[in-house]
Amino acid sequence: MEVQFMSPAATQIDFKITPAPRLSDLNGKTIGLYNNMTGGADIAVNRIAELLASRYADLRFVSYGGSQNNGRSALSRQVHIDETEAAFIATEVDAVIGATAH
Amino acid sequence: MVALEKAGIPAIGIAATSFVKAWQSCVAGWGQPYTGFVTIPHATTGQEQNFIHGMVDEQIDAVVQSLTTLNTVNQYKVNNAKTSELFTVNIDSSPAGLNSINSFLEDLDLTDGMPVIPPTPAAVELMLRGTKKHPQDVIMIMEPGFGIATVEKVAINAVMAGCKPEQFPILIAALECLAKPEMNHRDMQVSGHTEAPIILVNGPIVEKAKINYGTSAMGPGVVNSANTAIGRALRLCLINIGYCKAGSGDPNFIGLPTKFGMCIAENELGSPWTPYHVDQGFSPTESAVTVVTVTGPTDILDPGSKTYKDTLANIKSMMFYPNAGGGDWIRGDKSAQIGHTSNHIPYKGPYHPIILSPSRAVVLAEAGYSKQDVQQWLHENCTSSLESIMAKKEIPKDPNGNWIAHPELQHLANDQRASIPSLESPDQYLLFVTGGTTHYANFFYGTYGKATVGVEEI
Repeated sequence: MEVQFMSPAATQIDFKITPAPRLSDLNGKTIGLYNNMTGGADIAVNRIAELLASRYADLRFVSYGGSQNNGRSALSRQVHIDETEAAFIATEVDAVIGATAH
Repeated sequence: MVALEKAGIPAIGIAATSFVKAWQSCVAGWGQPYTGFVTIPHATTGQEQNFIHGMVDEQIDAVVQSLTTLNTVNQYKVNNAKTSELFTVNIDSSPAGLNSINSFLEDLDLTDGMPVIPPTPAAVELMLRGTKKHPQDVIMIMEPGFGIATVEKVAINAVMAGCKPEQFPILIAALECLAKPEMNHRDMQVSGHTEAPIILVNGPIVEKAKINYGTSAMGPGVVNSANTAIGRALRLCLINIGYCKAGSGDPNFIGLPTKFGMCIAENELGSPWTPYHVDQGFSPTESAVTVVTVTGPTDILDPGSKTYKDTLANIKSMMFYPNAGGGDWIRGDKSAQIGHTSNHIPYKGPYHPIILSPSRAVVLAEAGYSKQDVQQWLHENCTSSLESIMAKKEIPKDPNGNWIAHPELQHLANDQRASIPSLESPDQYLLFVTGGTTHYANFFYGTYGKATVGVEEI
C-alpha cells in the first residue's frame, strides 16, 4: 500500500554572504583576537597570537571580548559580533581569529 | 564570525572536534558556509593553560592557511527541495514494511529517532482544525537554520508527535513563546550546554487537552500521552523547522534526556497558591503557556523535613553549587541578537523552575508563606560569594575601568566576605505546583529566558 505524507522540514531563509577575500600574507597585518568570555577561549586566541608573533615580527593584535572597546558593546557569549560591531572591527583589523569554549 | 566575513575581513574560528558540525551548520545557516575554522581535540572549558597551548600549537599552520586561502568546500549542505515534497512510501505488514515510513524519514534526518505518526495530508488537515490561524501564517523564524515556522509545518510535526487537534493551540503558543526575543532561542538551540525548553501550561486548556497534572505528571504512560505528545512535538519542530539536528545544529556534548520533550500543567486544584499564569497577569479563566529553557531535573528529596523551615532549607541546599552560575547577573550580559540584524534585546534570566508537589506547597502555605514569600526567602538566602564570582571570569568594564552593569557594587570588589543574591530578583525562582501529593519536588537549572503567552481559544 502506498502512503503519501508531507515533509516536516521547513523552508529556510537563504542568506547568501560573499566570503571576504583572504589575506595575501600576514606580514604587517593587524589581527583581531575574539573570545566570547567562555572558559579558556582567551587562552586559545592569545596562544595563537603568541605563535604568530614569533613567525611574523611586524604583526599587531587587537583583542575583542569582555570589557568595552572604545565605548562599544562588551562582547561575550551573550553579546555576539553583530553587523554594526563587525563593521567597526573591519576598520581596525585585517582579519579575526575567534574562539569559544567549544 | 559570518558578520565579519560580510564586513569584508576573513574570520576563522577555533572549534573542538565535536563542535565541527555545529560550526558548519551555523555558518551555513548564516549564509557563508565557507567561513574557516581549525579544530582542537577538546573544548577549552576547565582545561589548564598548558593543555590548551598544546592543542592550539598543533593548529598554527592551519590558522595561517585559513587566513590566506579560501575554503571552497561547503561541507554542510541542506537539501531545501525536500521541504515542499509530498513523500510516497510503500508499506506492508512485514516488519520492514511496517517501519518503512520511519526508515524513510530517518534517512532524511527528519525525526527524533523514535517512530512517528505519518503526517498524511488528511491528518494534517485535521490538526489544522485545532487553530483558527491560516496554514501559511508564519509563527517564527527558527534558528539556527532560519527555518520558516508556518502553521502548516508546525501541524505536520504535531501529527508526527502524536498530538491531537485540541492540543495544537498549546504547541502554537509554545512556539510563540520561543519567538519572543527574551527567550533567546538561538542560544538555547546551538549551545554546547545541555538545555531544553519546558512547557508549562495553565488554565482551562489543561482539561481540554487532557494534560496530566497529577501523579506521575512528568513521567511516561498513557495517562501522560498529551504531556508527551506536546513536548515531543516541540522538539520535532526544533529539529525539522529550526534545523537543530543532533550533533550539528544541536551540539550538546552529552545531551539531555529531557530534550525529547517536556510539557506539564499546573495542579491548580491542589495548589494553595494562585496559578502561575495569574501571577503573570492572566485571569484564572484564561489559558496560558510558559516556556523556560532549562537543564535536566533534579529530585529534591524531602522525607526528613519536619517543618516548613526544613523544607525551605532543603530546597535552598539544592540550588547553587560552585560554578553553577550563581551571581552571574552582576556581569549584566543577558542579551539576545535578533536574527540577522544588529538589534540586541536585553533580557532577564535565568529562571529556575522549582516544581513543587502540592504537599510541599501546602507545607509552606500552612506556615503562612505565599508564593511570593517563598521566592523572597530563596532570594535572600541563596547567595554567592563575590570573590568566587570574580575569580571565574572578568566582570566587563567600561573604558574608565568601571563595572558596566552594576557599578554600585564595585566598592565590594576587595571585600572577601561580600556576597550577592545568586539570582537577580525573586521571581526568577519560578514556583510551579504539579504532580501527586507527596514529599517530592523537582528543581531545574534555568539557562536563558522565559516567556508566557495566552493560548488561542477554539
